[in-house]
Amino acid sequence: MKIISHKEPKLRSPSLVSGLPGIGYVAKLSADYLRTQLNAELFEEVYSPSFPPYVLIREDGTVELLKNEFYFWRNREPGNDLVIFTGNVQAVTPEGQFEVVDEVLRRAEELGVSRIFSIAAYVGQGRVDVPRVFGAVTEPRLAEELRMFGVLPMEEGSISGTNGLLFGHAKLRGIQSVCLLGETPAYTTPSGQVVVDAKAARAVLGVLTKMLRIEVDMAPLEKQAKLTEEFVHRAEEIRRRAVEEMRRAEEREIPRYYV
Amino acid sequence: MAAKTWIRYLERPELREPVAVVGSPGLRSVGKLAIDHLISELKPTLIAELYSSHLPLFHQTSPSYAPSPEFPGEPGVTVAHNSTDLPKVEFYHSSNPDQIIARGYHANFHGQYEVAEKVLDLFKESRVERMFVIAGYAQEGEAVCCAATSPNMIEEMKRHSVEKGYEGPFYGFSGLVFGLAALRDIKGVCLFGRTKPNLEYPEYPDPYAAKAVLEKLRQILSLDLKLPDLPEETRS
Repeated sequence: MKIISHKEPKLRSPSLVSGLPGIGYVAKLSADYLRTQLNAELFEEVYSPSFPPYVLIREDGTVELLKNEFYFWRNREPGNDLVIFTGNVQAVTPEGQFEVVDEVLRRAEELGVSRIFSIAAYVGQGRVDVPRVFGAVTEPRLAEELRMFGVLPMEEGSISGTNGLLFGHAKLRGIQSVCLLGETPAYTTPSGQVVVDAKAARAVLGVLTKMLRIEVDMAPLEKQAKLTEEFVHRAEEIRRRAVEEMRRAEEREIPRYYV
Repeated sequence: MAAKTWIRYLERPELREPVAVVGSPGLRSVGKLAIDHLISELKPTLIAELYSSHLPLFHQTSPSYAPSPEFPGEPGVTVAHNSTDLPKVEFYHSSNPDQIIARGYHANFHGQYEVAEKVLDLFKESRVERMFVIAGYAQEGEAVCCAATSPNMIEEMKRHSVEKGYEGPFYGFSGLVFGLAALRDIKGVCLFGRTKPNLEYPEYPDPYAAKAVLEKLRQILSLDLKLPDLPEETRS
């Protein structure tokens, strides 16, 4: 694993928010939105041989490696500073995911992180009109706090990938950790493209910003959430019509020669 | 046994501001065809070989690097002319200008980064500061387009009438050598030759795309290079 540090920020009792790409890009979109809105500053890049073996060519023609990144934000109000961990990829092997999580927790300890908020997706059953936010905690007393913010307890299940591992591993290292899961239908287009679920990200950030007591302009995300809703609605309508048409065609083809 | 990647040096020539040229099997074999042509025409000297327990003895990746004698990129131990060899990455030296030509080979999924880093180790030891990667692309656009490790290099390519044009992922050996070069302070440019995907045989050779890229490379590096003779283009 290769780590490039640009800065050693001194932070005031920071919380760490983590969101890597996963189902519906709920976690990554949430983390990216937060860092963009807060104008958070990049201070460390993580490159791992456990990332998939490809690079990305950007629109401007320059090459970008797959990487995870740490950003920091200084809170001008009395609350906590923030560390935001995100990236364009998750390590694909369990060994790689542990390695990355170890680095995140090492950094968290070094920076004096008091609490980790890991963002993930919760795959809902069927249509999701108003996404709910579920929560999991490393200490029972945090559950009550989540309830106060309208977060539903995730009674059972598993949280896969680095977003889940970071949350779980933090417990072993004695760091308070909360996992916020935005409900998503995990919608994919007929061609297999994952739909970025801005509605779920908006729901998660609604809770997270309240818990962190920070102000973030949600208008651009609201707009994106509206587009997600319209897109999914249109795609569902096309799919419904196609199924209906197939059903009618099958009815027309019922053989009439049997007795 | 732990995986291992190592380089066997055969010669260590004195090099003056060497440029690296890199290609490997991949989309329509554009990179491999171009590198093979450079090796056959420039008659460079083999100076080093990279071996790795990550270089597969059979292919299990998808798209596969077709293990058929008709297509480039045969996997496994090769036997020919009363001799045998392992899968490897080869490094050649050619003069005017000093070049290190890397004939790439795809490692398995878990070894791609390790092999690419080792290739860059050799480039750094040889004091390579500029690198050209050759590959194919399957989007609408110019016959040859480019990508680079920095916006400055994109600007520089404009002077050779090559513009950016491809956007998306770049897989495997050449993609990683190209991407990781940026972290090792090597200025890199990738020249992509436009081709059409062949879904059944992803690496079905496209010599026309390879020729188009070679023509640009010849112009950029002022190479004394004879281009491949090809009949009238009837692409498949």
